[in-house]
Amino acid sequence: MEFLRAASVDEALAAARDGAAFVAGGTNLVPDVLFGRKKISRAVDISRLDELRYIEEADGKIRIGALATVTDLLDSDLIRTAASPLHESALEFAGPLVRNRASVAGNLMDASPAADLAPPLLAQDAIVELVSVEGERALPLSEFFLDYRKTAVRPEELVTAIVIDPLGAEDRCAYYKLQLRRAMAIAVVGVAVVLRMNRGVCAEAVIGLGAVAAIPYRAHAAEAHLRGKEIGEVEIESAAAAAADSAQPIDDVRASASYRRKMCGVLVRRMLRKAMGMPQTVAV
Amino acid sequence: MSTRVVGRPHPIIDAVEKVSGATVFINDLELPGALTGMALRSPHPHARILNLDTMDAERLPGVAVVLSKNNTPDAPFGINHKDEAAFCREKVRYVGDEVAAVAAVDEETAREALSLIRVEYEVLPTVADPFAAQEPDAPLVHDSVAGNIANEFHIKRGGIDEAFHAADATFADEFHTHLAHQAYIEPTGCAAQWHPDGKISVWGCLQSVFLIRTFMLGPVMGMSADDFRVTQTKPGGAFGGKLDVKAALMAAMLSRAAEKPVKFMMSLEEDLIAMRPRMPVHISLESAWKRDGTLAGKRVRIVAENGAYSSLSPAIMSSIALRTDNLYKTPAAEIQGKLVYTNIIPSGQMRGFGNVQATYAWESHLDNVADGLGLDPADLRLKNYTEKGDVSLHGWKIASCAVADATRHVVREMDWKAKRARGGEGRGVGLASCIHVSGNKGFSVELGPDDTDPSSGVVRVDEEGKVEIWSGESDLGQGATSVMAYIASEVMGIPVDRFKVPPTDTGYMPFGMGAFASRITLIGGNAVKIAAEDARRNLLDAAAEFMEIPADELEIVEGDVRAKALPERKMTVGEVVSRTGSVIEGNGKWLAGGDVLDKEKYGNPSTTYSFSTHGAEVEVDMETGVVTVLQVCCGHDPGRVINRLGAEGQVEGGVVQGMSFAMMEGLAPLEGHLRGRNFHDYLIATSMDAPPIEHDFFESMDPYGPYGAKGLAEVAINPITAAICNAVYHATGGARIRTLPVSPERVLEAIEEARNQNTS
Ligand SMILES: Cc1cc2nc3c(=O)[nH]c(=O)nc-3n(C[C@H](O)[C@H](O)[C@H](O)COP(=O)(O)OP(=O)(O)OC[C@H]3O[C@@H](n4cnc5c(N)ncnc54)[C@H](O)[C@@H]3O)c2cc1C
Repeated sequence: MEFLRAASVDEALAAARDGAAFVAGGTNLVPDVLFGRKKISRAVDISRLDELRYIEEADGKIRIGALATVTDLLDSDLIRTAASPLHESALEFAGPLVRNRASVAGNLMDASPAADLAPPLLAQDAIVELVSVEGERALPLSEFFLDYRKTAVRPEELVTAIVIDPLGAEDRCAYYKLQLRRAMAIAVVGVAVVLRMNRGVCAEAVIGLGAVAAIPYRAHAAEAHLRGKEIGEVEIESAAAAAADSAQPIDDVRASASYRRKMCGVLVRRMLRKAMGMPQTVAV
Repeated sequence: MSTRVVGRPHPIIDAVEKVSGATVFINDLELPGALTGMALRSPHPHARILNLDTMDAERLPGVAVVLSKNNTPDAPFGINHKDEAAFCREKVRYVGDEVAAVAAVDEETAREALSLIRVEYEVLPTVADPFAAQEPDAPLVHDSVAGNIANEFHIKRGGIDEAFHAADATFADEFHTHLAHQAYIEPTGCAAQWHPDGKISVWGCLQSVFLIRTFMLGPVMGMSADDFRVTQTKPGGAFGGKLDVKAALMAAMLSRAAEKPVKFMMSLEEDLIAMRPRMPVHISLESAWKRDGTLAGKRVRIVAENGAYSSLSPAIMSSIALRTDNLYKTPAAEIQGKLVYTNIIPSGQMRGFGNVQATYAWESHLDNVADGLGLDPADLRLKNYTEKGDVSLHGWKIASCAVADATRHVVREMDWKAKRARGGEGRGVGLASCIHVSGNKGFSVELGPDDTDPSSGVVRVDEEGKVEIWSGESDLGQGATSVMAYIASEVMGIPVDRFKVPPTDTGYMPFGMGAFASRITLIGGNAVKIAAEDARRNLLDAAAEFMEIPADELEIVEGDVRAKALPERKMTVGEVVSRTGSVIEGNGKWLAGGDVLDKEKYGNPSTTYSFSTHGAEVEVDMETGVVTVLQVCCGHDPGRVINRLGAEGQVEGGVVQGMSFAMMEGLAPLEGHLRGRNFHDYLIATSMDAPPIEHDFFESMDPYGPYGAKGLAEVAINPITAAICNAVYHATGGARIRTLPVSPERVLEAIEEARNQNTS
């Protein structure tokens, strides 16, 4: 395997051919290569491309550079205040050592169904910006994941930034990661909800779900029960039921499919109630 | 008795060496010219080997030897049953079974050589379930063992049928435990060096350097125990898993065949799939009671999962079967045990030696009983605990016991009565107790030289006044060497920082059985204490001559020998030794008390017994089943604390390790394949999961222990699982966890089951 450290984005793009892979934090790629899950002919190290490591507000959007790390998310006041589900997911992400290396783009590109950053990014309508020698393009995150560990990104394309809509003063949100231990654990279910409110009416509802299907996805059917409504018990119950219905989980070492499906409903209900400031149905 | 060292907090004596990175672990050991050893392991749970061709591997440049059934003798070994071979012969019996091994110049070559070994398998049906395995038409794991039954026993004592007839109330339950690993951080490895005189040196993190020669290396290699010099390397964790280390055999066999040193280091995955994890067991319990909460008798039926080979499993099953009967005054018992072969990784011993499983089941059952009788679970226990002076129905002699004090401590510190009065709303408290041996005579017969469970020590003082202790007992990181240093320091009046305890080495150290059954503080500690007394006497005798003062008028204080009456007349210990022109030595040997059990498993297996009670407070999310342990409170009776820091470490480590076992661990076999094959899928608790732990020691001052001490390692882990399960039961208003681990999913099922029962 060949190793190449890119000094610029152009250099990285030029090197991205024939079985090459970009290396950001390496927290997915290195174990994948070491344990033979991935074969690559060339590793293109992009970790020194500081121009891709930033978190900023521009034109009413939050721009997150591809190489921003999970620790960077945690350190950002902007993320904490205007993307709090993402902030909370970063809190639950692995442990400090991994968070220091793990990049936002790497998390999405790995395309694990349980990628922790995917549900909150989906819930804030993330757009993924890509570049290759052919030019630039942008892809909504909701069209990014195609199938289990498969994305719409072409092998020679580099993710440069992820752009999200900040939360406004009226907007409501919540995040939860169900896991089997308090750190360094893969999600059993991940839920992020964002409700864009306009005078008490839900103008837009987005629910991002993780670990309950082959890919992280938006629960469109559930969202439809909320959009345009004044959200109360009935809307929440219908949305929770629709979310559970939408899930296509698997049995694995962490949990059964039926538990995951059930939790999908429970947690969507719970996060919607939390977002709306309603009391929970059980003490939690 | 007032003490200078004993009972105080000290860092372990090799702490600086360890935290500064100077410690040489097995992986750091460099043997000039060493080859890399590696094993080819079975990918199938059960298959017949039709053909095994190693020719291409042997021809690969850089490969020194390839060993397999083709070129090694059929020499079955095993502690209880000779059912295991160095390399699979006609069949493979679990995923991970050793089929062949290579020694090559480096890891890459060794790996390539493994890939060149061609094995033709005929895949056979897998025997994965221990109940299905007993069916008449079940495939056989060992063709000669009918019904897949490795061991079986049935004991009846004390008029059990009458006890059940006369009882005011009876209760029945079933519990199931899971396959969990010791999950030590240091992967297993051994190095071996063949010498031209035919002898072999072996190094590794081993719990018993002496015994591995007699139960494994010697018989399989057709050599005598003395042909091996086994040296313990500093431990990176063991927890029971490094008693039975086949890597030592692999390294030694490869080294002999290659006539070169060989290092055989296992990967983490190999450790998880091919060592000897904690035995899973299925326990049915029935108990008979008087209305006032007096235990009248119990019936226990056990089906224990042996896995593919037996190793120490028959003894573990026996421990599961009998142990808890001795914690309470049990007038009658009937016990049936069956140990069943399956095509899963052979199960084995881990901290608790079956008692974690047994205590989980019995102590969970007790809370169901308390509920049924309308009694407080703490009161029920306090009413029935064994006491000092008791002889249990199985013949156990209780020489010291402070379990009731430990329980009262937990009740007081947890605000038990007030918290018990609430419950059912997602928050609750539970407690559980245990009894444990300090050494076990049974092992001495099965593994040791005779039935004495012996230990020896040598204490050597040099001309600088520094002291070295040689003990045959291994330190596994539990602080055994430190305990020995404190005991000897107390006896000799020489400061602790002058003591050194080198790793155990059969080449020059006296015999010890090794680290298991919580035996080292009691048995090894006594041996070292006797040796230290001997060394002190020799020191004083020598000083008496030089100082012209009778020995009985001398004392040793802070490393100086001085006249009791005239403290300014003194010599340093180093000066005394210098003037003798040699070293001053002391020797000690101690034989454990107790008996070897008879055929009916009657007798007193240990010199004395330790006790503990753990209490847990939990919060249960009633919709997701997620359990959070809010706090743990415990009391332990280790006889006497030798090193307070070390003892606290044992307790805190035991509690977190036990909680981890209870709540998240598991190799999770599915049709003979393990799913928890790495620390990504096999979860162990992190510091984030560790609850606050409040605890205290209740020192029963054991009459046999060195300064009154007995074992602590295993009582520190045994009860926590049941304490958590009982707290969950209380918190949820009746969700009883009958199958481990206490996963959110399982808890939710139990909550639903309890809800259905309450409404029906
Ligand atoms: C111990 C441990 C714990 C973990 N815990 C969690 C957890 O709790 N939650 C979680 O979600 N994940 C977890 N992970 C997975 C991993 O850390 C994350 O997915 C992380 O965000 C990956 O980022 P990275 O920068 O390390 O990616 P890398 O490993 O460098 O890359 C991952 C993939 O993305 C590609 N890639 C990276 N950057 C770009 C880019 N800019 N453009 C195009 N392709 C790119 C790479 O080629 C590779 O295919 C854990 C991993 C480990 C080792």
